[in-house]
Amino acid sequence: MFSSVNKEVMRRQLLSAYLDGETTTAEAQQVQSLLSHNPELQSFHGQVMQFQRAVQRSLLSDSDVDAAQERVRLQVNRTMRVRPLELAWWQRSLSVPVPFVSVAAAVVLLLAAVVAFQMVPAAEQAAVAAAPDSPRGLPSFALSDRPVNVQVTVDPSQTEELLRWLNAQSEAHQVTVQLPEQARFQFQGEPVMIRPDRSHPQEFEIVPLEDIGE
Amino acid sequence: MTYRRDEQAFFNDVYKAAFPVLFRVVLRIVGDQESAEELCHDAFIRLYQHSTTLPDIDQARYWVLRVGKNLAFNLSKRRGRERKALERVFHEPGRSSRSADRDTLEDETLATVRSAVDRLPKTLRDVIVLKEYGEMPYAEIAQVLAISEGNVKVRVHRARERLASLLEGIDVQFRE
Repeated sequence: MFSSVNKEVMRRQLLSAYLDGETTTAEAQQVQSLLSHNPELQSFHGQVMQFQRAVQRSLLSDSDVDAAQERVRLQVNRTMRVRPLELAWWQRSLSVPVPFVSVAAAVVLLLAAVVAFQMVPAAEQAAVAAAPDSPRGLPSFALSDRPVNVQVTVDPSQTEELLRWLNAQSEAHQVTVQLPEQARFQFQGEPVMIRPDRSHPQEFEIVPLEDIGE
Repeated sequence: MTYRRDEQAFFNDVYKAAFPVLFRVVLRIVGDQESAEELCHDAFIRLYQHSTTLPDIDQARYWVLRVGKNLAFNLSKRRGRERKALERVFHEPGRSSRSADRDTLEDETLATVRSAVDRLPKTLRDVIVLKEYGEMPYAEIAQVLAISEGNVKVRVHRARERLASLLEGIDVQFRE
């Protein structure tokens, strides 16, 4: 019983692969032979063909796909102009004559040796100078001495709340809003500044950057 | 001793090779052209940013198909959750209108097939969408999903078995 069910499953699996053109010549002949006298396999074949016909009906035409390809290509190009690919220095191409490489390598090795030789006594002096009663590091700096840049990611629904809070602190000098990485944000609209409304201190106003100088 | 490839030319080649399949697959998953175009755009921008890590056009093509497919499924899932929430609020479950008009019947048939695919488990839905809508061979599906070719063969078959049973009794007829 089990083996006959299993055999039927294997036959259907073979038929499925046959419909996708993923069988060998021998397997294809086997499927064709089975299809001619196996009603269950014929029924499964009919169902798969119906499904594939429905899929074909729902597919876009090649010309529609070509049009979409062109539209998206233009958008991608615009985005790439806004955000050009920045390779790290070690990923950039390098074109150097070979003799120059050997000379440069020798100079680097020489410099490294000199620096290493001088570092040893300097490190010893630093260890002696570091006493527990001379506080160093972050606590010795006051925040007011240095500008602090903080990057915060917030849900769009909470943006207004965050801006109000920043306004209440009276400490933020500049707020930069990075819009989500979606096509519609990258080439629609002009740059704007968000600032407290002078006439209604509790409100914000959005001012196009080109109007700031007026 | 210049060995770095031209990334822009590489990107253009991958775009040309991958777009039609990616667009058809994403469109099938999200259902509307505008979203499909936006997701394809996002997938290719990600490809552009990662292209230096991809050794050749084939690997880049599989990579962007995988990313695009995942973006589309995520959007589709989010929309499904939002739709369910709306239905709960307004007590208006999706209704299928009945009409004798033949075009409407055809649309309903396509919607039924679409809904049957959506009801498949994700492992089966992934392969059948790439197979039927992306028209990809088993070897490439295996690369995109990082599974074996044999596994693809079994999953395509199982997906078709499920679809056959989900669509049993529904007459899938089309005007010629």
